[in-house]
Amino acid sequence: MRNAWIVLKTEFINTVTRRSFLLTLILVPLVPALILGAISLFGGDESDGEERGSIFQPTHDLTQAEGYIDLANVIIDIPEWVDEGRLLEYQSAEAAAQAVSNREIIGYYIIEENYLETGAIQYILEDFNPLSAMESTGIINDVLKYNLLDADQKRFDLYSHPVQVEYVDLTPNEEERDNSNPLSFYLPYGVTMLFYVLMITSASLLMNSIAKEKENRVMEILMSAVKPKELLAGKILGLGLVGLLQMVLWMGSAFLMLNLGETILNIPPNLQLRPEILIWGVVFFVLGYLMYGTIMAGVGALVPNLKEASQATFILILPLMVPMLMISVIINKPNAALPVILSLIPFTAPNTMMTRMAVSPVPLWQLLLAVGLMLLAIWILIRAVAGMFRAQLLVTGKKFSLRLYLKALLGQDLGSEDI
Amino acid sequence: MTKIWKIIKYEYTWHVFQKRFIFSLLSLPVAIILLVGVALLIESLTVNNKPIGYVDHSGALDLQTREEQKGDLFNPIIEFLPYTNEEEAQRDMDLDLIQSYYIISEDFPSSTNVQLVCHEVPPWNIQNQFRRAIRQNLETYQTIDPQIRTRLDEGSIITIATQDGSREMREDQWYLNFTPFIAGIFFVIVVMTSGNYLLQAVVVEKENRTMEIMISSVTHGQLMTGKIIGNIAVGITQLLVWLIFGWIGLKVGGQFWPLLQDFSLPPNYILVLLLVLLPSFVMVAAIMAAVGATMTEAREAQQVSGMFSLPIMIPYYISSSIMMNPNSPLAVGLSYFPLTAPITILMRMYFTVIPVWQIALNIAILVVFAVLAIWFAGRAFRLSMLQYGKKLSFGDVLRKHVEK
Repeated sequence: MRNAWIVLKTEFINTVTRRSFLLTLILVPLVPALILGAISLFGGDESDGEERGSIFQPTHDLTQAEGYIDLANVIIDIPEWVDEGRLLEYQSAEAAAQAVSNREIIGYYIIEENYLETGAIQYILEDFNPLSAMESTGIINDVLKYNLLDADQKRFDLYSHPVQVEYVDLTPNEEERDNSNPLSFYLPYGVTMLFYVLMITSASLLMNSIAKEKENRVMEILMSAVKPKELLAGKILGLGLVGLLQMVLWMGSAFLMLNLGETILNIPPNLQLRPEILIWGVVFFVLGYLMYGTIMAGVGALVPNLKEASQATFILILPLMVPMLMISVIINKPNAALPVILSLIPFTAPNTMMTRMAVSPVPLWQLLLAVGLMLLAIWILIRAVAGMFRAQLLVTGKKFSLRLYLKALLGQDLGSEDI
Repeated sequence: MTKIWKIIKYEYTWHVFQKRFIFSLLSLPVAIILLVGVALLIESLTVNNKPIGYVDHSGALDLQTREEQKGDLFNPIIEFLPYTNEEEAQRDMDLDLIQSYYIISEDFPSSTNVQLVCHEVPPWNIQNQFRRAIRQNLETYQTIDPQIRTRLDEGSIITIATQDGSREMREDQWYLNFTPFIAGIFFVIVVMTSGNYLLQAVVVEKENRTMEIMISSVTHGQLMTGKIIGNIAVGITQLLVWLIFGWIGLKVGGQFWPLLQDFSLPPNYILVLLLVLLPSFVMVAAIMAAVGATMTEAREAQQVSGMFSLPIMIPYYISSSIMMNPNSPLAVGLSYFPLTAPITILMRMYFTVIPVWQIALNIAILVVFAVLAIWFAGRAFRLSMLQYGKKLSFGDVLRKHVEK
């Protein structure tokens, strides 16, 4: 095992001291930190300190005066609930345009003559922004409805709220998430992305290091001194430590940022990441890395050079991408059947579990079951891949194919025609 | 000139007439279709279209005869089943025959309070169906003139427009707001792939020493220009093919799904788009070539080039801020910084009217940086030929220039 320790040390030191590695290690948390800083510096200027969180929400001022030109003669009366001076009537488009250039109003509605048949309204705005304009059209819609109902407040109320619903929820969630806040989506999304990137990079680091040594024939020399299994163990553990270091640093800085960001971005407390996510994150990262790292190590052992590996690896890491495709479902309903099943299947478990945990607490038995299933899968995989780590395979320049890989993985004897 | 032309032709045919290129061409449309398909499938699977029960103590309601409504896969028309008492409704809910039930009090029209018993609050569109059904039972509603009633139910169709009418958008076509996103994604993909091709072309030829032979017959300027133009042409080919795909998709999809036909871009938007995208295209390509020239190993070069793709994507991460406040200092600042400019301008242009001088300034900055990047790439390349096999830092490339 002494040799495995040497391999481990070499791999770890070689990777960590590489300049590009250090650069990514620092830049990845630095860039979002800078963005957050920039947002808090620039974005918050226009609003009060308290409303800095509104950088993610519309800031269109809904109290500014607007005009209307009623060509259809629908509006008889402006209801009381509209603030005085919020909606001003103009006789012609010219007068309204004049008022816009005098800064009396920010825009005006032209209610077309055939409004009753077509419902057509033009909303002329000086600052054309369809997105924020949509936020402010509610008021004219309500005023028109009120007038269509003969300006009768009672009928308008009855029309717009025919029922007052009181909800009797038989299975209330303990913790209601505030889904109106975009962060409730972005936060779990970010966690999943981070996890995905970490797992892929450290797994492909492993494959690269094996394939590279095979390509430049260092492997042949190594084989004379180290047993293949020792080499595999050393490499998996060494590069796993690199990945772990990266993950702890990134996750740690994400925590720091969110805690600082609490004041800058106004993240509501029930959306914040819980500390246990860090612990479970480490557990699932280690397991996920062991699984995908082993798979990739197998590819590395079989490919003659790096270029040929890329297509096969894409197919092999496809299961890791499944939770990414379904992320909106997982975030919206973290405890529905599909996310639960995905988080128990070993290949999709690490990612799905992290997303689920970022959204809501996961029952302990599910966590333990997922860990158990993953351990079982890893045990089987390591045994299969260890079989591939034979000097015979490590030194041949045989062309790589997925078929060959699966055959080797299933422990079938690779006949002479295969090698 | 003939030498440049030869290099362009070589680079172009080397990529375009290969199986891998066709694969990458097809992979994006296929991936999009797959993603949308999976999303729609999941969405339709999660829709609950079980009936909703109601217990009407007032006896005044009839929720079963309703006026025609159009439903679709995602907004199915829910059936309302009457029950005489809560126990029966509760029993059916326990048997999972209904998803929830309303309890309407005895003095219904005078008091509008109702209770909704459920395991999970139904989505708003289903609750709206219930409101609508109730509304039809109200006396005030039945006495309204039919034309006004239709207007009330359908609401207004508001067209948002600028004063001179140069920009327009109908409020019910909110999905058009995705246009700049889609355009931006295409831009990033095309720029990154052709940049990567360029990177590979330079580093690989350096690695296997083809470069040494090449440089004996062409000047480094010719080689760089040829490679940059050739690989940009590959990227543009890719973009054109995708645009044709997209156009066919819209036309074909428009037959089944009319709202797809609304997607269109005003001509001046497209013009500015081209003016912005072309120099940024050249700039990124030249940066990639420079990275390729200073690095000795293909793998390392790829990692460094990743650093440059990060700032290009920044506007995406803060897109909501840019869209809501397209004229905030942050958004304006990002549109002056050359790497973040293309995507930021794409978004700002869609969500506001940018003053002409700003666009002109942005384009000018991009052009200046594109020229600088080409100059830098040529310089880095020449130095790298002199110091073969040695990694150059950016400082090296610049310092040597000063000494001369």
